[in-house]
Amino acid sequence: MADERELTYIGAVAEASRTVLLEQENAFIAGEDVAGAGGVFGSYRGILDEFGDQRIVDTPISEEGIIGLGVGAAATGLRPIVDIMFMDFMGECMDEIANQMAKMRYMFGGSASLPITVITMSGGGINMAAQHSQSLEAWICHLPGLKVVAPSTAYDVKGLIISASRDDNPVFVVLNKLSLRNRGHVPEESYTVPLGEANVVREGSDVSIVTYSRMVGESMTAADTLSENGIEAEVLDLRSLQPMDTEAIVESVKKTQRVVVVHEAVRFGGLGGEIAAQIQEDAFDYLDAPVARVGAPFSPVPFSPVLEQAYIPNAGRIVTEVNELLNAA
Amino acid sequence: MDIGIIANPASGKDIRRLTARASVFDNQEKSAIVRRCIAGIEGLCTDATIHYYPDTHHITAAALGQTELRCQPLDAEFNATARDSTLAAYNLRNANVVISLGGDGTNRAIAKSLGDVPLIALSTGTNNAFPVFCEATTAGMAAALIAMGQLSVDQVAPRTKALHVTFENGETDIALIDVVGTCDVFHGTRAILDPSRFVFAVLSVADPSKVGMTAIGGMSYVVSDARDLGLVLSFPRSDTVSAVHEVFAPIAPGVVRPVRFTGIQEVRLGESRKFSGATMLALDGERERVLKRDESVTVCVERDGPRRVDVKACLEHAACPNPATPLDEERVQKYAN
Amino acid sequence: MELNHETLLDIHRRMVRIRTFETEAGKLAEAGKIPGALHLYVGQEAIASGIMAHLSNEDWITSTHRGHGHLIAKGGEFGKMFAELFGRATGYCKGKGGSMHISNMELGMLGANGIVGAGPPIAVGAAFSIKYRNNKNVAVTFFGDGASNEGSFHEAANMAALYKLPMLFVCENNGYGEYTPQANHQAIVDVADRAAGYGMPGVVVDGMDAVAVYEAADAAIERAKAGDGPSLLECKTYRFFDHVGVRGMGLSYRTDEELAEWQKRDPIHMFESRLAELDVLSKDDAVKIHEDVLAEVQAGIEFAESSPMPDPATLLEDVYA
Repeated sequence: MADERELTYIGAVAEASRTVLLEQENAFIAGEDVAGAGGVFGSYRGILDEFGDQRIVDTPISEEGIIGLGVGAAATGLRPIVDIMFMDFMGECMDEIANQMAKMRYMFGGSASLPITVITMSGGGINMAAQHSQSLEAWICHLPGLKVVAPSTAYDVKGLIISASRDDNPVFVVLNKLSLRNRGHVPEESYTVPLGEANVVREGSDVSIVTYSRMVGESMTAADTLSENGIEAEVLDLRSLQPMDTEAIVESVKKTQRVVVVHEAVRFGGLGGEIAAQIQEDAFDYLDAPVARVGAPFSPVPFSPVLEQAYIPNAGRIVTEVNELLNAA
Repeated sequence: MDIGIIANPASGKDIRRLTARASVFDNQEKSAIVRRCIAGIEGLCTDATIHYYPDTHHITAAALGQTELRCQPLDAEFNATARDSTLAAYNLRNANVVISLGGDGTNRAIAKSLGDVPLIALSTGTNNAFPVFCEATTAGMAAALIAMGQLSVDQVAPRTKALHVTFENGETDIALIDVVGTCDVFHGTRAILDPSRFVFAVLSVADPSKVGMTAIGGMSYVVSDARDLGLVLSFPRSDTVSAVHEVFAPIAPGVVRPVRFTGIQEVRLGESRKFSGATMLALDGERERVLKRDESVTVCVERDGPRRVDVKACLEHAACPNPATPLDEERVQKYAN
Repeated sequence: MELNHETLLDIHRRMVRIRTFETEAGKLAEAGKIPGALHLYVGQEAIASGIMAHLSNEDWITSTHRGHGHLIAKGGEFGKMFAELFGRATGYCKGKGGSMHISNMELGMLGANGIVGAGPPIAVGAAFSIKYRNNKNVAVTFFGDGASNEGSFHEAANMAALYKLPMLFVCENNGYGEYTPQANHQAIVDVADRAAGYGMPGVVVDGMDAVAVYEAADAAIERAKAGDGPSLLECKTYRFFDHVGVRGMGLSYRTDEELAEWQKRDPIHMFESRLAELDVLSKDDAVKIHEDVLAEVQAGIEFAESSPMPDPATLLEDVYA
């Protein structure tokens, strides 16, 4: 495995974007600072030079205009990739997301297709405070018509972006800021990670940790710690949040009988509640304990590094939660 | 001392912003122009009364907020059409001077009823052969000087010419610069757009430095404001008729096109010319009235247009070569604060 | 641009089709036969007709909550439209959209829209598409004076001008944002004044005069196709019916005198008078056209009424492709 090709998480975005533009002549990228600057995180470095300013377009700081551009272009036959720099900015464009993008096909009786990929960033940990650190995936998972993925590895970033771009529906690819420099194996060729399929990243028999995005890494660290104490946790990376791989969740629950759902988003009203509900609907009889949840407290993301560290869930909290769950049973 | 102000909110917004590159006069700019006029007036004259046309866009009303001059809206049954300018002018026929903001069309409407009152015509329109581009502050000062009786109106505001249009049914109309027959059949956007549709034109002024029909005529034969003459142009109705004049003329702001005409004739003051047949009559550049197949119209140039104020002349006449009379100390103090 | 008889009659027919459809739809709504809310286009027909006379199915439009007129002028069939208004399976949107979302992709109609101001950004996307493919088409976004206060309009105007997109912003200024008069919702009177701030020309057009709209659209489309970018046409018009329905909710926000004054300038009556003077369309022939269109509308209503309701099993279809 040592000679496997590696890329960073953010490098995988650039490679996926390039792959999509090569594969699909109707694909283009639009967003703030994407072309000339190559994306504020370097997501699109080199794309402008290779493809020219018709295929990658700098937009004004106009999120509603950007999403509208994507909706109109997609409805009329193009396959836009639009970049919303931070998902916190969805507030600026929620009408075009919720009332136009998500619903147009349905309202039109199925006559329109909207093959749009929205690439955006979630998560805290880099001291960007309350308006640049949120994990708002629950907002968009609540909207019928949208698909949402949240990759945890560079491999999944590339595979999910390529899948999203080939899908004829709007797909949000929710990336994570603190993961950008993480390196991982990424094949050079084009490949897909299917939408709606979770990934068992660690097998275990004592407890299932159901998670996604950067919390997959924290969960893996937690699992190592737990393993030292003889607890074998299974870690399920959902990868897709909408549609969600309920079957994979249920399979894991059947195996371990105990579940902790982990996400960086605020716990109240977060996806953990939905996942817990699905588990009790589909696998209640297999549960030996109530479904536990780890998420951020009910507060805006704080600025001070000390406060922010106290805010964001981490491996230690996951270990504590798992231990409490197992002790309660 | 009574000074009238008529600002036309509709001027400077027509299709020639698309077909040509005509200036845009948004209403905030028009309001600022009025404000500058007021500043000019009150700089010289503190006891004038401003009588203004209360336009639906509140252009003038918005500009009067800070002045200490007496301001009175004209009281008449305005209805937000071009008729308003005529009605406003009628109500200002006893004023000392009137300031207008608009293009040829606005001033044409004002001229219908203004009579002998000197008119300071500030351009905020499109094809402006009648009004002039002029700093509004000094225009306001000129208005004040006239209102205070410090100038000879005959010297600074000579009568312009007007084109009198008489229809068979006895109805009449006027234009200030040009009466054009075109083969359009609808009023549409009112602007006259296409030289190939021109049939005839009667000009009171043929000025190659302006835009529109006056420039087309003026490119061949100059007829100034001062000359007691008009000009009649006729245009070829088919390609087989050979044109006698071909000119490149600015038919609209930013649009220079070749224009051909088959005839060009002088017409004396008071001499009527008759035109008949189905045409659209455009007065001062705007499609106004349909002439039916069996109808005719006569057009006649007269020296009875509005008294148009020459702002430069006003201020030059008022300039004082002798030691200045002392400034009113009270007002100096006011400005010092 | 040549306004030949064929074009004149075409514009006339579009206007009559809108007026008749909307009048009959209004009667059905007031009789309680149409579920939900209808925003009717009566009074504003000259705008949709004068613009759409220039467009083909390859030109895209976005519409508003008052969208029937735009779809009819773009070639919408009465039967499928009434079926949609009635919530039937045979409607343009299979009964899933209704009046406020009526649309047809084949006709280049990107939907009526229940969200005020949502259309302009979408039209920017459609215009981007046209430019991306080097097609010689345009995207037209219709919106009202009320929508011109939404941020979406401003973002779209800026982007369209920035990218020099082949696009028309058509503001149908009917003097009211829902029930609020223009003077109470914006400090300006001419929405066209806003165009200059985005680097595009803006003009004021008599929205009751179909030929004026046609001429202005012609000039704007020529600019757009020549690569000179978007234009804003502000068409001054008036709603003859209420914001919703015909008599609406009976709110007192405008006077009968004001309505009567605008009705004197009924776009169809004015146009028919001129067409008669020009011997393009006699009064008798005009009556015949109204009768023919009414018969077509009635056939459309019958089609809709006899159409099946959607099968509840189709509820979850079309959420995703």
